[in-house]
Amino acid sequence: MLFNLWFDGGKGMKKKDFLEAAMPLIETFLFKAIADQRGLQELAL
Amino acid sequence: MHHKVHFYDEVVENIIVHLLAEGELNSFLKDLIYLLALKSNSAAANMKKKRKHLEALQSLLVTFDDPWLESRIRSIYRHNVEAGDGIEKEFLFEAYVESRKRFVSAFKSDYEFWEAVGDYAPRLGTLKPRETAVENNKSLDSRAFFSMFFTLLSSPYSHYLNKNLDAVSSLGPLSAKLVTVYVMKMSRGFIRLMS
Repeated sequence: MLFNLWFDGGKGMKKKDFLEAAMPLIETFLFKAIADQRGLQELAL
Repeated sequence: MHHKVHFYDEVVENIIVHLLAEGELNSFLKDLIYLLALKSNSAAANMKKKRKHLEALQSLLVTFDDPWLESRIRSIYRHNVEAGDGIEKEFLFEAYVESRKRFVSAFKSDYEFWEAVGDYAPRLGTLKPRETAVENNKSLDSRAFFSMFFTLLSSPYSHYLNKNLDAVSSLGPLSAKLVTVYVMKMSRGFIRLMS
């Protein structure tokens, strides 16, 4: 398994609710990171 | 080999939990990025050099003794409890030392990971490397994909991610901290990338 993600199971949180909240945020920030990285590379060129 | 893979996973997970609590995770990730950079620059290296590099990388992972890490973590935890030091550390150590059940894994397989991507983050799915590319390590897109995860983990993005997860009330503070331990199973990923 290449990828994993942990969450707090001590408060009765369900996996579905966790993923529904966390995955879009991860997606957003990944693309933001990629865009920023590309921007920096273009500036360097 | 199968058991070794689990061992690597456990060791790396421990290292990451430990370093996260110590506030040293970013420096560890910088080292890992450096190792990947070495790999990307070593296309012209001969097989002997590549094998030596792989052996060095493996030794980096296996020289950590798991029981030692456990005792080290418990020692720091005891010190923090006595000193009442740091809310963030308390959350993490409490979960790690007192109640391991609080760590719930979201994915039991890579298939579940990509299924969750399809359900909740479809744009991320466009970055999925081809299976063959991961296995053969011949494609730039697979390398780029892994480097993106490292980018996400490194500052300042992890800080932004934390901040936003804190704002999601259903998650709570501990979850917000734990979610930053968003780990590609580095050990096995490296072995694949390096081999």
